[in-house]
Amino acid sequence: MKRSKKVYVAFLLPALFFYVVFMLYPLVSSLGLSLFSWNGYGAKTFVGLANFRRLFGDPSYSARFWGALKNNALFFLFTVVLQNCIALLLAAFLNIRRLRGAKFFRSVLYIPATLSIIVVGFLWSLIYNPLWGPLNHTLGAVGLGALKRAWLGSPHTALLAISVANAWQYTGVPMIMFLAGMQAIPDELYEAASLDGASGSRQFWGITFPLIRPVMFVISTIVFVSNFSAFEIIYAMAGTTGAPNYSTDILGTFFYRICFGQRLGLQPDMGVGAAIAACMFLLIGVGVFFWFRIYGKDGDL
Amino acid sequence: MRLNRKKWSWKIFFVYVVLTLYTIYTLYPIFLMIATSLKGNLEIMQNPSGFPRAVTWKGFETLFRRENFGRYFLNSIFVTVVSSAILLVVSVMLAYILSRYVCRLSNFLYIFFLMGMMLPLRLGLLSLNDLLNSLGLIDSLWGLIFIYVAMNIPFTMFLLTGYIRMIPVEMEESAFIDGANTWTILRKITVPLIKPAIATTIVYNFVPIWNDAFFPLVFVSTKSRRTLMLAITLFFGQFSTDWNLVFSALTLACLPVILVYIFCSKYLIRGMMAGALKG
Amino acid sequence: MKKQISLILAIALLLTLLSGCSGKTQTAETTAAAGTTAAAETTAAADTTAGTTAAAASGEKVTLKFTGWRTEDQDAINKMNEKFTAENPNIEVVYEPVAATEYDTYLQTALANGTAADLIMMRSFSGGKTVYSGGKITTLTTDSVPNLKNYPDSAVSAWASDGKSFAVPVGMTVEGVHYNKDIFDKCGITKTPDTVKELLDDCKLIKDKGYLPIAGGVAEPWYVSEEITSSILMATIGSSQWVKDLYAKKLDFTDAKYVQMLQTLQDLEQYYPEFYDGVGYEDCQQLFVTGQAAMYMSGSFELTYLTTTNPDLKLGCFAFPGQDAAPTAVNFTAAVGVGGYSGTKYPEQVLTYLNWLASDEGGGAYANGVLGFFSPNPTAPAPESEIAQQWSALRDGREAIHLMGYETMTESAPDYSTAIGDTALKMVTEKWTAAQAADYMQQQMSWFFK
Repeated sequence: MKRSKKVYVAFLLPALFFYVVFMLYPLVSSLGLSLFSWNGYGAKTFVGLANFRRLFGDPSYSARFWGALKNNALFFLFTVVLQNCIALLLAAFLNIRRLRGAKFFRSVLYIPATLSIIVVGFLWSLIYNPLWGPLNHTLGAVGLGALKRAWLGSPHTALLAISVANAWQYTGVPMIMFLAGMQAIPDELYEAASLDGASGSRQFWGITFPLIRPVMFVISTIVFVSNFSAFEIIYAMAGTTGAPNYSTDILGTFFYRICFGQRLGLQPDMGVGAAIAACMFLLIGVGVFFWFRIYGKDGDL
Repeated sequence: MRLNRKKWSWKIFFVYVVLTLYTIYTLYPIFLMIATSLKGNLEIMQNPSGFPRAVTWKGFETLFRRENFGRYFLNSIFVTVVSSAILLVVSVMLAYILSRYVCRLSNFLYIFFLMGMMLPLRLGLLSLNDLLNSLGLIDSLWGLIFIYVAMNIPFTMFLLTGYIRMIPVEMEESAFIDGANTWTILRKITVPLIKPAIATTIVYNFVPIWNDAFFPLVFVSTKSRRTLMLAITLFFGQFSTDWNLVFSALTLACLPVILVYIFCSKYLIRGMMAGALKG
Repeated sequence: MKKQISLILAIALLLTLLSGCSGKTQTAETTAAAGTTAAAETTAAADTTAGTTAAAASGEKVTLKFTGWRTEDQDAINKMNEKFTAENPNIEVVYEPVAATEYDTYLQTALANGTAADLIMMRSFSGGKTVYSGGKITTLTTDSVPNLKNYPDSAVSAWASDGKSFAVPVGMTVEGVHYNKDIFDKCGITKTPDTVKELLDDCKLIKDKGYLPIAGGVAEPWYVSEEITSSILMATIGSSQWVKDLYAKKLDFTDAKYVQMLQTLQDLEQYYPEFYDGVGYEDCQQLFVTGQAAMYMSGSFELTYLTTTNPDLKLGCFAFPGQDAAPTAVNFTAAVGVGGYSGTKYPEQVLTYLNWLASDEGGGAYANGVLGFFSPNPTAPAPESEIAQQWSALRDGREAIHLMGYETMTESAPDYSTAIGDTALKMVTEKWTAAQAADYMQQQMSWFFK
């Protein structure tokens, strides 16, 4: 099929224009700040790689960097389990032909994804509030009072608590995407399998699961990228200090805190902040690169 | 080959139980938000989990008295709809050529466009500030629109290319041979076939654009140009300990989107489900 | 789907046309009746879009926009502004705050893109200096703002960089302990505690009677740093010499007095609410203002909020007790300064307002209207509110030492405020002794001592 170059360029230019001018240029030029020392207001001084040296050489900074990276990994792990696995399960259920009311469930379960992150953060902060939050209140009421704790205040539970809130909000998204993928699978395959005597779950693992690999690839890429560049949900529920005890400090909040400073405290340092962002970019880029290689080998991109 | 519908199955029962429980889990926080907006502050502290014992509308009354939400609502609609429309058109075109014109340049561009997703958006804040300023787009809703379009192109392209690639080229080839130009093919063949993807991206983009309160905060200073979400967050930042008021504001913030979503969900989800190719 | 897209595009086109009209001028705008505010908004916007530099000297009406982070004080400040307008009928000042968490980012972008308000609330010391270094804040001199002379050097220098003033010192706050007189009466406590031991005894008594002694929590680092440990520390060290020695690096955070401060904090925590590791600033506010807690460690700036939210609350205050004897020092904060945006269209009016704030009358009006913010101008009249006067009096006969973590210890991560907040929480989760916590604090702040 012969394709015309003119069409190619014509179709490319609008997107390219918006993207380069309003997204790429500001971001990349800000990355360049990593070679400068700047407080966001005054003069910029060129410092070469000093910011990177500080980020990795100064223990106060490097400890935070690796800690944040670790938390990102944990956050990703929690999300995969709490969000994606559950989404897969729900989609599998909703895919069952006999199921009545599937449409109702589908619609309802997506509702949290329409909420603003600020709202979700606020809501769940109330739920987790140790003094008058419904979670502790209910635990006490059903006799599980021993489990009551400061969910967002304890470094052992804070990140998990936020992950639960995050998963609550977004499970509907991969669920719908999985479901769309599942429903694209022709019925004949299932009928043939039934004729051969395969059970429901056997059919799932043998037919459904392999055939939705493209969807799984898309979802896992999105989740990887969005988790490692996450900021909003943590910001809404724990602020940028990484409280408690930096257990909720992820690369996004670490970047923001250093870059823009904190109210009544740390002065802004956009140079080191940009260095952190550059590292985030490299990390995510490398991660996606390897992921594409692994998945790409199976042909389905 | 039909299964006997009357036959009871423990499996199906189990499935229903799980789905119902999960639905309750999903809806409870939203119920909580609405219930809290109707409780007095003291009751919120004493009875956080349940139905309001004494309903009070004070929160909502205060909200409507103090602010001109009608204007902000229109602003939000304008920004969201225009951004989504431009975004969709631009991204479909992009995704199409990246999927159909397979060459090194396309591969490079694919990665090039994905790069944007890997950087924290707030990094570019000051740069964006200078850019909009020099373009004269500060304090303009169009400034916001252009930013939103740009921000969402990577993901939208990513999603759409995935779907387009699932459609065999042959479907378009016959039309091409008949002399149709690419734009017509795109409109008449490809787009209808990727309805699920388009519906997904509409919802996936619409929502964060509508809900964003950060860019309006820093780039829009005239009060009458504020968006709804911004107005609400500013409002409840002011009264952060008046929980009744805060939750009234939050409820108000969520309701438009939830209502629109519920109204459209049947259509949208059907669109998303209308699945690719069956056989 | 094509239909849907067409529909969307049609709506978009329609709305574009509609907004295209209203986007240009604001005069056609109909905001809900909000009295002068709406009218002022229209006037200001019309001025802006008309592109004229407003007639400064002539008798034309001008509206100045004033921005800040004190959202709780919005009504109080606007009421105070009415007094100003009564004397300067051609100048109206509208205070529109931005939430404290977003204020710094908002200010940064607004100053850079030229949309900043005319009057800007400035933080003292390093917070304000950083903003000033961008060159967009007007430098104030005794020529442009003659009433600056009313202030002692210590106040002016809190809002100055290399001797150049960038804000009028408007409000200082005092940190101490709010208490609920009703609960104290019911528990039979007739005298506020002077020593830590007395305080702990009072707490025990209150707890035994079934009340919550202290509304406190260590979840939010800034609250721990500025309202809790600050008061305890100043009362413990008794004089500013300790702080001077610390800044001169003659001693560090492992010093016995700092350990003692942490020990006192730990001793008090048993009288905090359950799960205080997850209790934050607003939770404490709630507990106290609803009458559930007997005491609340915070600052005088809470008064507006406390008195308006629960007018029935019988408020009292006392300085945080000294270790072995009555306290000889209290913590104070150079909280609010007001500066001018250098790119304002009304520089003369801005200076007029700033000069008024710096006058006895203006300083008094601020202190009187915005409870708990005291004027550093010694000749400004005292606020009428009794409870505000009591807070001000906490400084009598004592040295007022400035809050730590403002003047210095902010240049590198972690800054003082974050570090002490982190330390206090870790002391709880790791079940450390005060000495161990002090070691951790020292380790966190070791960058300062290099």
